[in-house]
Amino acid sequence: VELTRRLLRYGYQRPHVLLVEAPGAASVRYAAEQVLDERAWKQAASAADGDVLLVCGRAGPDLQEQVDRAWEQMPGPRARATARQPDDVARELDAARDRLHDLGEQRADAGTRPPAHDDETPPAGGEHQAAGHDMGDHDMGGHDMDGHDMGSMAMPGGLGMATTGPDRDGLALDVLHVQLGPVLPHWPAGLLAELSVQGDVVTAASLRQLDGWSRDAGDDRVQRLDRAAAVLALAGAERHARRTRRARDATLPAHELADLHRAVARDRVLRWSLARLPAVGADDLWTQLLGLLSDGTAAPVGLDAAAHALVGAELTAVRLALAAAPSLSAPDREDARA
Amino acid sequence: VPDLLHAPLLLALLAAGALAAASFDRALVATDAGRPVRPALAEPLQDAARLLVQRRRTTVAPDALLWRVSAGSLLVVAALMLAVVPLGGRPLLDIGVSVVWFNAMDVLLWAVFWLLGWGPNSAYALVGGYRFLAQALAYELPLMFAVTAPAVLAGSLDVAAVVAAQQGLWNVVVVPVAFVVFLLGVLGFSAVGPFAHPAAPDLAGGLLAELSGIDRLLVLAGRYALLVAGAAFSVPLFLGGGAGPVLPDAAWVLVKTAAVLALLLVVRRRLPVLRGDRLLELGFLVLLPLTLLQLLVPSLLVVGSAR
Repeated sequence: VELTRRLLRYGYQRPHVLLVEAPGAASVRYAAEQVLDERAWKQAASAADGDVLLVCGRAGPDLQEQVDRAWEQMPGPRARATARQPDDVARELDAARDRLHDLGEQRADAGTRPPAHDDETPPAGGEHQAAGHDMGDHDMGGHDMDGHDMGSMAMPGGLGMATTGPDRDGLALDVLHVQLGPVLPHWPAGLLAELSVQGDVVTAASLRQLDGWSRDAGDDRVQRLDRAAAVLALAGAERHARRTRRARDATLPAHELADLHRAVARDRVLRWSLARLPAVGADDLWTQLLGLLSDGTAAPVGLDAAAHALVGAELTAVRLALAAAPSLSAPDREDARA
Repeated sequence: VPDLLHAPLLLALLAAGALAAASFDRALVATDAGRPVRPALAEPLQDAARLLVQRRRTTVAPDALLWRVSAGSLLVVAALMLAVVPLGGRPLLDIGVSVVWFNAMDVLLWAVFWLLGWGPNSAYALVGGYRFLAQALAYELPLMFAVTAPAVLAGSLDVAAVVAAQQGLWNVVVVPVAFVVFLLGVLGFSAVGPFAHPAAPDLAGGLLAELSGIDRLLVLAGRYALLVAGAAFSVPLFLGGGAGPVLPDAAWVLVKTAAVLALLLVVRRRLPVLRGDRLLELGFLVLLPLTLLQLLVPSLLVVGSAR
């Protein structure tokens, strides 16, 4: 017990934080990213990588449901926290870390999680073929059809199998249905994308904004730099991304923004890596990125138009395009515009 | 080195090398971010402690056996690569075709990384597996031809013979392009830096997306261990093995390995992630022709000296 306690204290000095941004709470997420950067804590890339689940702002009911799912998927020791204001972030993160160090609390949390079911991605239930001590010996037989319309075949884990469809070369290829967001780093707040993919090529896309629309009142320049930082982080250009975040948080002197723009524009490897990628609300992702780092303005793009732009792209391109996209607007607004 | 100690020594070196590489890597990140370097050096140990305590999670209907086995295999493959590197004298695994052995181990990684993507029954991880295969197509052939160049110069597939053939002039001078391509290949089969697309942030970590606890630790450590093994193998192949003044051979092998490893880690932090289609362009249109042209140099030298 003493060893576990010590390992907990030693290992969880810098917990990995899974950030979830509620629509309208971008400033809280900026503050959170800033605190993580300063403390050398890591932003978790997925629920499996997370120790602390930090919700930035006030999550509506739909987003809350997704957040609860992510919470179920976190391995543990784990702690969750909510920061409503930018000033809350540091305090909430400290408190969450203290809860991670609390062996009693973590034991109690672990006790609430049934062994066969821990950390399963919903839809849960079903017969586990997988052997191994971590699966326990719970017999879930006969359970697997509950609430799922699966046809007559029993599916492993109660999940649907991939179907086949024609691919872009006219071959029959497996189609997977994948949901992206809303608990995903560098992803527009509250956005949910339902994609059909073959390999990593998107064949159909639909976008939905959870809990309706709520606009960020933030400064336009700040939002642009935030989008640029997300694109750079997704492209694996972490040095540029960190500098851009500092520019966004105004800790970088203004004249250095011009330097930053120049540094990115001159990065030939990055340019080569991002060239000829599709974009939402622009012709080309690279031009759009450079625009975000200077002072281009862009009109909002409708959800359906954005979804349309994603079909035929690879998953990487989808992530980059949505990260760089100007703010998305409801489909009816788009109609009004037209 | 006495035979009985050779294997434990290599494993200890691999572990120490992987830990040192991780610490150096964290220090590079801290320097870039303008944070103090000293606390960053301890971060890998803290991460290891964290992952040892962490619950191992699972997904719905995973292929648990293949998933767990592949997570542990990266370290095993790295150890098997290191086994053919001579620390001065004969290598532990003295099989006479050690260059082919190294190549076989690196091809084994295709299966390991693919299974790592297949195992958890998760779209992110699966796409990560696909991406690894795509980039493997891009780096593997250039890597094979890069490894061939020193073998042609020595007229042998035995790494000890390759070292012996470098008396006076190191291969890095004779076939510099092959050396650079070899290092790119090492980054490729370790899936780091520009070759990190299978585990990239846009896929929520891809191959890593569902891993937690000890499995994640094994994979993260395994990728550093592969960098160490690749760096170590470049020493007998291109850098004259244990050749050097004053210090004993084994010490020179370690010093050169550390230098190559540091170079790999610095390069890795300077370059963005490259997508699979870009890597295929690079691999087939640039690297493959370059390595083939490079292979002409040793071939002509060998033919010329035979006359």
